[in-house]
Amino acid sequence: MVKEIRARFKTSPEYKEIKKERDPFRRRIFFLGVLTSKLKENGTDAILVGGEAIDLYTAGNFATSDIDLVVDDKTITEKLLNKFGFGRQGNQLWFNSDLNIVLQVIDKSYSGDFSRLKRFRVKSYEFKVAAPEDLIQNRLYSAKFWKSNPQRDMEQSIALLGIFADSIDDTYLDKLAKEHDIADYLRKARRYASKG
Amino acid sequence: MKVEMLFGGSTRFTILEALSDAKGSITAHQIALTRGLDPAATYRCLTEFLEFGIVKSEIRQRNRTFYKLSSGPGRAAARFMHSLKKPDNLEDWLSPKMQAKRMAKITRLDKSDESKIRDKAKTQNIDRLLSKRIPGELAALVISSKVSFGKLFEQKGNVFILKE
Repeated sequence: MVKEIRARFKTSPEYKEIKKERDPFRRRIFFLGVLTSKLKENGTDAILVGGEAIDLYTAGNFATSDIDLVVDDKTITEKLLNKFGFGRQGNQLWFNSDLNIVLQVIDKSYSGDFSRLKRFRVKSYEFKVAAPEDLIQNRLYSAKFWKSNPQRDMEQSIALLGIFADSIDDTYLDKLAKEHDIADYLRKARRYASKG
Repeated sequence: MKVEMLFGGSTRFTILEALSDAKGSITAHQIALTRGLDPAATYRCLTEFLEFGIVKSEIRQRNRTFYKLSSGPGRAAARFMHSLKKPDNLEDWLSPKMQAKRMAKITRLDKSDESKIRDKAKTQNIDRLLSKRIPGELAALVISSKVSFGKLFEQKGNVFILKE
């Protein structure tokens, strides 16, 4: 049954269009559009967060290789991924070798501000992405408090501050920085962003 | 003694296993992500493997470095590793317990996981962190990102539309 559904999906016009896209960045965006619209048809909401959201805002210059997707129904999402030819690599990690796309399903509630979400449209599909302010807060918090990759986290924050210098809500960002005890890191990031 | 210790730890063993299983070249990030390893540790190990000639690297696709086992020492190391593996390792690897362990290792912003928290006593020098690139490189990348984003997307209110 699953094989039949997978085969049907592989011959669908959407899949052919995704596959046709040679550029991995554009292919991921297109795939996201298709996936989130199918999720919506099934009553599931999804928000792109993390590295792929930053990848999107930086037009691929600060590349990542996986897609972090916050969903409100993990079961429906996983069923759909299965139909799309994805195989489970871990509890939340899914991989499609044909499309070379890695996706992480996050079933925790979105921690950012819903009213600030941005929408991206590709062809007739649309998906929601975490706001630059929430991503900056997330990366600065990671740089300061988590044993991850502080250089990468700082650079991504600086990039977002630089790219969206004209539209970033500084009052909101300052409030987030105060709440999360990252005002010192935000100050530094702003200084570097203004140098560009 | 665990087999992994012969390779100086489980990270080296897992990376070697990932490279051996891969059909083509893969990035450090892909290895870390699919095997549940710390990205920085993965990168460090791959750099060591490169120095010893166990892996070969090439830069492709947007300046990303791809790794594969070298035909001499690399393949020999993989053969040695496979000869030491117990037959039940795959079952262990696929067990829910091991899956949970791998997932827990993946660096994510899970604020409930205390073990991922940096030691507050050790302050970081941000300027030193950001001095790893050549002067002007980061600023150039930011400008390039801004220009590329503008070329790729058209903004209409709160919506960014991908240009054809």
